[in-house]
Amino acid sequence: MGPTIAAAARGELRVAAKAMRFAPPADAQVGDVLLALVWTHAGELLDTAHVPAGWTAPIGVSTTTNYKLWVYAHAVAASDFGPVDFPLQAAGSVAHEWQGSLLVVRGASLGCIEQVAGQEFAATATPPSTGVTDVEQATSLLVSLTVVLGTATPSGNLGDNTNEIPYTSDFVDSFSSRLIEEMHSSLVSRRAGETGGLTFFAGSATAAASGVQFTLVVREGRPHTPLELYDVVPGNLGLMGTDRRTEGSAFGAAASSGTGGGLVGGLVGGGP
Amino acid sequence: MTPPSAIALFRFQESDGVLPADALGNLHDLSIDTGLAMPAMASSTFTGRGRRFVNGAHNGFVTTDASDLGTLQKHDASVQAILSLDAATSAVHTVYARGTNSGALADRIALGLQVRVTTSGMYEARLFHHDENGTFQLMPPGVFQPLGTGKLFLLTATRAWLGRDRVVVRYYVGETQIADILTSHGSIAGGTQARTTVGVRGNAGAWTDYLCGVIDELAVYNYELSPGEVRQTWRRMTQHQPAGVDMFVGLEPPGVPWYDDPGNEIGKIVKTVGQSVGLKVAAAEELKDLWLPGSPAPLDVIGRHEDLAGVVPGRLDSLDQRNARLLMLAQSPTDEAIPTMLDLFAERFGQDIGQGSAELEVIEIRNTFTPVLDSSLGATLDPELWTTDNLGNAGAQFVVSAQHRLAISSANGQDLRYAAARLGVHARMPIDVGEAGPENNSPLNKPGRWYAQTKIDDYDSLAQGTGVGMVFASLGRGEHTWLGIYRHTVAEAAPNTWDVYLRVRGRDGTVQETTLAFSLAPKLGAGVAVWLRIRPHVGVVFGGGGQVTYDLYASIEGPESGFELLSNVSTVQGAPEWMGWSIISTIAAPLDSYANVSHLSCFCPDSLRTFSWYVFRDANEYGAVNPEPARKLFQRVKHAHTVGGVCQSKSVIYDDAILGLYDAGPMGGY
Repeated sequence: MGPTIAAAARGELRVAAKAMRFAPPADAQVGDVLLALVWTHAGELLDTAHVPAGWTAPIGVSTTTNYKLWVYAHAVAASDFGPVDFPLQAAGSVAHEWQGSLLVVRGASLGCIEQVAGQEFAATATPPSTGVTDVEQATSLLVSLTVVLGTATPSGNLGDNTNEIPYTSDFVDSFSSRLIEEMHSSLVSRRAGETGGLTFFAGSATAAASGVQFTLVVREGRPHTPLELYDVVPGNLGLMGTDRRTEGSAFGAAASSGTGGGLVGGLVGGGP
Repeated sequence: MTPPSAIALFRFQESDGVLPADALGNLHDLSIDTGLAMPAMASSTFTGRGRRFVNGAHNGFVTTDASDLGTLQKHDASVQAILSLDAATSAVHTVYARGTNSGALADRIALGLQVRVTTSGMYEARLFHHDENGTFQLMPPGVFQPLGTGKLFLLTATRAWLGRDRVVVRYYVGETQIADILTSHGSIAGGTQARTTVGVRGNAGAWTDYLCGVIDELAVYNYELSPGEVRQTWRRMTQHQPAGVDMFVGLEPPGVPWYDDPGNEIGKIVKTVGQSVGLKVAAAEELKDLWLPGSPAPLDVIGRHEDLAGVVPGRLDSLDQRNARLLMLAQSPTDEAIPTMLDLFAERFGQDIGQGSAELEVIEIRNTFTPVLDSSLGATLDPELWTTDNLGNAGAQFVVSAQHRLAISSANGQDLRYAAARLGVHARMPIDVGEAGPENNSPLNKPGRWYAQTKIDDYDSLAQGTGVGMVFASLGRGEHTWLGIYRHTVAEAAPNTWDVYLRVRGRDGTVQETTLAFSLAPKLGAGVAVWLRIRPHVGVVFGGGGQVTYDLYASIEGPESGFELLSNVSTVQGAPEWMGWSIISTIAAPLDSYANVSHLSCFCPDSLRTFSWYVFRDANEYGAVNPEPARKLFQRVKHAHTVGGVCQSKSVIYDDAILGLYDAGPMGGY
């Protein structure tokens, strides 16, 4: 089954307070993981030293020339929770538009979120989706975020749920804001193995200015780290003991003799 | 049909200039072709030698069939390799491919295994093949985390062909299954031109996807390895076979140089024979894993084995009880009441099991045990020295002496603490309490479902700054939890007194040591025995990074009562793989610094594992040794791979000290 996005809520940019605020989502259940995504101008750094209590330090910070994505996570507990603010560094100021989205992820756990890629693009009719299509994870949900910042207004909004082609996954949200300058954002999710990507309104739309595509991977479980085979006893028989050959080879005949004598004799005597 | 078998096995033991050979003789020696360079020998890998592949150097092997025994893999297949991948890598590492895709239909790839690096930095193991239309089909992956350059691990990929639109691929790293995926890619073609590549893939007449790393060994099978087989391969390689070599190391008189120079002939022979001894125990373990019902086993499997063994289950017996009974019977081959089971063993192992082989004697299996290092040793033997520090501290001594004491001596400043290396625990046994994490949710992976305890007495002669206790370790990861009695130095807060003491080394390498608050600690000293107990905290959730919380207890009343909860300790240590006794010391300790340890018991009601003791002795670490006492001790605990401790309990089910039903039996002595 893998993780799913159960709900999403937009953030509130508080320019004077220099913070992105998220209200608690009504649909969150104990055991869910909340993902707070905040995308900012690259010159405006969030204050990672003042993460709200109970939230992880940023799991992945995707740096591109003009945009950054900040990803915080929180495991929903029984007593959660009030509005949370993710502030700008004290010395900074909000000179460009920010946006944010709070995702309720079901079926994952903390530590299972990877930041994959951030890719900028210039004027185009179709946002790039390299970071999405390049990864076919076995048990994961890919969250794709496309952002367009307009010095000139894009001639069309980003795709909504009627304009995903040929997107087989779930549309999450698409919205614009213009507290400082116009920014359009779209969020979709995709299961492993599925294909497709966002596009603009069919026919007429292009991104007149720059944009960026971010990709996150949310896994069901943290990938396993193999245990190392230490070379403390050089000359381990290794895979040899697994042999099941029942006929036709000298080694197999020795190994299946039942005593192991053939195996030892073969090795010491120079090998079969 | 070709019977299920391995069809290629490359050990890569050959020196530079010698072409690597297939140990099974089915493929010609590995060679190179136009555009490829010979991979160089990599010395000192897990099995001795390997081959190093460098993608920029275009290293890769090509070979062809040498036999007609059926090397084609159109349906079920498995590829298994011991390898390491360089951190500075190519994007796609080809491990193996059957077919070179040079253009001919017959040379399309019927089976291949590669490891891809994802944009998030994870590794994806993927099987691949061409379908009948010539389309390159890349199977969905098993994802795992990079281990790092030069770090060898076991990678296994299996393919089970169920039909043209149904294929199941499974991937394992080590003994852990990381993916189990149903795909529709059942159209498999090619491979019939009998060409095989290792470390590189052919694509339309060119070479691509070079491996960057070391292949230590490579095996290919024409059937799907089961999870049990993968697990057994892992345990055999990492536990049983090395322990066989340790046995020989311990019996060698001091000064024998072979162990320091693994390349000499004696060293090779001893290691080979030692590992072969381990192979036998591994085979017995494998029998239990692969032939007998597992846990949980379905009713029909248990019923079938009960019929075979002539066992009639009780009316109220649960499946777990019936399963445990079967496993006990299977490990009691001298029991004449189950001749059919004996026949079963005899068929598999000839006379080695069931006839009392001198090489391997499986005495008895219980899920609780008391080790037998009985006091009669002291009547005839001088204290025998067993050094296991393994930190290069020459002169450090560890003694198994009369009254099964663990004694110690060390020079000033020596650190005899448990080492991360494999020989760090003085006397130990493998345990199986399940691997933490959702990917291996064994019945043992349940908090509170197992506990272990030991008795420590006569510790009043411990030198200041030393301690003796039980240790739980995941040796491969260098993690351990040590719980014991420690005598403070005069410089410490409670000078020259005893305390229950904890030392934890987590997988991140951090070490924490602390004195545990025990209300009866002021009573500790001469004549006061202590029972220590460790148990996973009830309610703790495994997984999510492997965090485990343990409850630590101590009692001075007895094995069943008076236990006081000392502390809850959380550690990132995974499920322990070994338990045993160990001494720690950081200051000079005289040789007569010792303590009695006994009654180490591990209660795992869900465990299906054999409890086998391993006792290690490194003669090179200590001076003149009469090998005879060592041999006698060795006989006393049986061979290193046999069950040195036996619990004479009446039942598996009720042998639970916490519930007050501790039945120590005739060997117990409580």
